[in-house]
Parts: sequence; C-alpha cells; structure tokens
Amino acid sequence: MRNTFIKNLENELIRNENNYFLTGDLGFGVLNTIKEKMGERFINVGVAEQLMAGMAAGLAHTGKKVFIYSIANFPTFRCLEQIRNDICYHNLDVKIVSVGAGVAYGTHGYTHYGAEDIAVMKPLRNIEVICPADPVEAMSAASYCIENAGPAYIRLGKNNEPVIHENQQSIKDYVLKSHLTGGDILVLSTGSIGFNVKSAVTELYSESVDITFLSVPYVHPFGKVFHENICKYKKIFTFEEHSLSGGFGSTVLEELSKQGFKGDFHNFGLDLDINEVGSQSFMLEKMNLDIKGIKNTIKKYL
Amino acid sequence: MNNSVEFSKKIRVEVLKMIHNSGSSHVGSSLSCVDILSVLYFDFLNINKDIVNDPLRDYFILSKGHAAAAIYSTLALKGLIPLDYLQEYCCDSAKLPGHITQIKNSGVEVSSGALGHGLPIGLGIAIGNKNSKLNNKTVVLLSDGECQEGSNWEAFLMAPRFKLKNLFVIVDYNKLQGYDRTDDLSSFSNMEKQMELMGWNSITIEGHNHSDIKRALTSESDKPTFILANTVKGKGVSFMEDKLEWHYKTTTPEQLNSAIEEILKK
Repeated sequence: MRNTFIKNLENELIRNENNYFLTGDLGFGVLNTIKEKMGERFINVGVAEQLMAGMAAGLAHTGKKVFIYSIANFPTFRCLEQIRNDICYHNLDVKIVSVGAGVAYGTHGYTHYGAEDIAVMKPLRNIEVICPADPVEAMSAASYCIENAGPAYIRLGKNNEPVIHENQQSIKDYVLKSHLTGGDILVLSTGSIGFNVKSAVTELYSESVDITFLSVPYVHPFGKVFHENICKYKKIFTFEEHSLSGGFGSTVLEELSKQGFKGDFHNFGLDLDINEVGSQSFMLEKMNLDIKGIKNTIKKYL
Repeated sequence: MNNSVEFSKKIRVEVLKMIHNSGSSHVGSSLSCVDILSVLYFDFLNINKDIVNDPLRDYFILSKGHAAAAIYSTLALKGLIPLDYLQEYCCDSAKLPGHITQIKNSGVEVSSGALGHGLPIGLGIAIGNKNSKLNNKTVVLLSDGECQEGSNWEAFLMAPRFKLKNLFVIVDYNKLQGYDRTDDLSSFSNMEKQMELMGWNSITIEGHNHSDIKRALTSESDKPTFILANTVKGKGVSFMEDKLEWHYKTTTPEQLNSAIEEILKK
C-alpha cells in the first residue's frame, strides 16, 4: 500500500515545482525515485520530527504543498504540537503520511504500533483523516492529496495488503459503494483490516445472514461522507486496527449519537493488553481480528 | 520618527500602556526586545503595508510569542495594524490575543506562543524562498529560555547545510526566564561559540545598542546568521530591569506614569 501511494504521487511530485517531500530519515527502497528526481524539493530532515513538521509549515507558508513522511507514531505523536499549532491551526497544505498503521510492524513491538493515532489526529482543527484499506484506496488517497489543499493525515499500512475493491472511486465515495447489500446489519471498517472484515462478512452472507459491509477510508470528518440514513440499521459493527478509545468506532458512534440511532452498536479494535509480539497476522489472530475471529464476533451479537 | 532610537521609545510607551490596560503579563519580556524590533522594522526588513502579502517581502517570526505586545506595538506604529487595535489586547473579544496570533495583511505571519516553534517554521520559509530564487530575508526572534526547547536544536543542527545567507536567528538573552535566572538552569554564555562550531555565522552583541544590532544584521556571510543579543529584561524602566517578577506583574497607574516619564526623558 505504501509503495502504491508513493508511486501514484511520483509524477506530480516530480513535475510540479510547488511540491515538497520531507522524510524523517526513512524511505529506503520506497522513496528512491523521488529522492533522485525531486532535487532540492526532497529533503531528508534527519531524525528530527518536530523540525520536519515545523519546516513543512514554513514551506507551506510560502505557497508549497508539502508531504511529511515517517513511520508509526513518529510523524504524529513526536511533533503533535507542531501539527496542531503550526500546520492545522494555520490551515496549511501539509499532508502527514504515516506508514505502519496498527500492528503492521508487529514483530517490532509497541513503540512501532500505530494504535492511538486516529484518536490523536482527529480533534485537530481543519484536519482530514484518511486510512486506506488497500492499494486501490491508497491510489484514491494519493489523488485526493494532490487535488486538495489543507492539512490531512494519511494513515497507510505497509505492504502486501490484498485488494478489496474492483473499481477505484474518489476517496469519499467508497462508503457509497457497499459490498453486499441487504438487511439491517451494517459492518464498517477502516484500514487494511477491511480485507478480513470483508471476507468474514462474505462468509456470513453465504450463510444467509443479511449483512452489508462498507470500507471507510475517509474517517474524519465522518459526517461529511456518510450521507446514507444510518439509523435504518438495527445493528452496526465497526472494526479497526486501532485502540477502542477515540478511533474509528468512536467516530462512528459520535455520528450515530447525532442522528439519534436507536439500534445496537458494537466496536472492535486492538487489545494490546494481550502483551504479545509477532507478525501482523499473528497479532490479529490473537486479538480475534482474523477472518474467523471477526466472523465469530459478529455472529455472537446477531 | 527620524531614527530607530526614537521609534523604540514610542514602542516602549505603547507596550507599557497596552499591558497595563489589559492587566496582563510579559512586560519584562516585551521591553527586552524592543530595540531589536525597532532596528528590524525601522531599518532592515523590507515590509510595509503595500507589500505585506507580496512573496518578495521579508518575513519576521516572533517565536517568543509572549512578547506579543512588543510586536503589535511595532507593527501598529509602522502602520501595518490599526493603532486602535492596541486598546483590544488580551481581553474579551480581543483583536490582539495575549500571545502573538496571525493577523492577515498585517505582517503577523505566524501564531506562536508555545515555545520552540518559530525557528523550524522560519527555516522552512527561508528554504522555500531560496529555492524560488527569491532574495528576501527571514528573521526569527527567540527567547533565551526558549533555547532549552529541543526543536530549536534540531533546526540549529540542520540549517547550515542549506546555506541560507538570508536566515537570521536572534536570541533575546535577557538572562531571566519563567521561574529562574536562565544561566542557573542552562548556560547560554558559550552559545556564540557553539553555534559557530555548528556552522553558523555567529555573533554576540549588546542587544540595546542600535548600531551593534544593525552591524550584526548586515554582516556578510554565506552562512545563516545567529545573533546572541545580551539584553536586560524590562529594559528602559529602572524599577523593572533584571527582575523576574516583571515577567508576570502589571503596573499600577503610578508605576505606569513613572515608567513612561522615564522613557520619554531619556
């Protein structure tokens, strides 16, 4: 997903003299082309995320579109005040790109898990939060970044995410294109967990459960994309590779509350108190976020 | 106004008045940088009402955002913000918040107040302008206590490689910070040497001497310029000078009058 996102930005980044790309000393094998071809508009700021975010704000003040790039929590938590004050409050055209959402860096342990970043980015003024689920959504995210000004947080997976969409939409329209429609049960997810969720829901559908699945890459402001009458559903489930506190599920819940939803709501995400370390698939299985786990979870509440 | 010294007296009077009228803090921090601001805006920066949004203008960033009264006064006296805005400082429905807040079309480029933000931003502005082949200057003013923020050192380390001869960083070294004397916490007395070793054109000056300030700003170099300005907190008002409590206190009416009288007498 990370490579797809960058590849889809490459031409514009190289061609348009207004575009800058800053990295916090990361990108080996991923950013090589733009490093080579963007000249002075590609800047490795070193292991200095506060500098990266502040410099991005400064460049944006002179009219540039700036991408900042690092992994997990480095381009977010480490420079949160810079993002809050210098970028978001000034409504500058800076895209904050983080690689390794959730437990994508599973074997590296907690310091490399993006588990609370949606919660922390969402409340910032003027920000949009985008969490692609697969390379197709990542392509849409890249286009969106090029075509729109303003602060945005792009939460990417890492690599080898299976494709869940046949057709590319614009980033806000994936919620309109539901997979399997039917009945009064709605399942939503954001990010690459969408593959497991879609697979689980597909199995349930084939077992005659009337159930709808939507992947939601445009997480915030959620109310701006979810036009459908969400209150018509009797049960809503959300899944995310993120803490249960303040993430995607919480975002949906806020919207449900605004709309006076009277049905059942259940959200599921990372439970890192399991105190395990392992590959992403190992971790997800341990937390019942593999296909089987998700399927059983949903069944329990039907 | 025929020189920067006259300008600085007017700025000091406005600073004293606006802080007194709003019952707010930071008079000491504001007064210590007035001479620097006066030279910058009278004699150095290419910025005025007509070119305030022109990409060719010079940029000034007040990173020590708590000295807002000083920059607001300077800009008002230079005609960049309306003079009557100074009556609405740090109060209900304030036009001028207590820490510098961006105002469009006024020369207030950036909102700051959380310390350690201005220099990375200034570095980004300087790089953006240089790459666009512009010759304009970027000046960032820091406080001494602010130099304890690590984000500044990220910028100090990285800036020299960009060869930004139009980037100027000034530290208002008034030796007092929020709760202690600065040098008791971390000494900056060797900062000129430290910055030189890291690749900056590094100069120490007497921060209330206008010729000194001007000379440092016009020193020729291919490197970014760092100026350690020795100053006095509360400079210009003898009962405030070098006293920590004047980081916080507001003047009584009698103190205000006595302070203004002292400044105008000089």
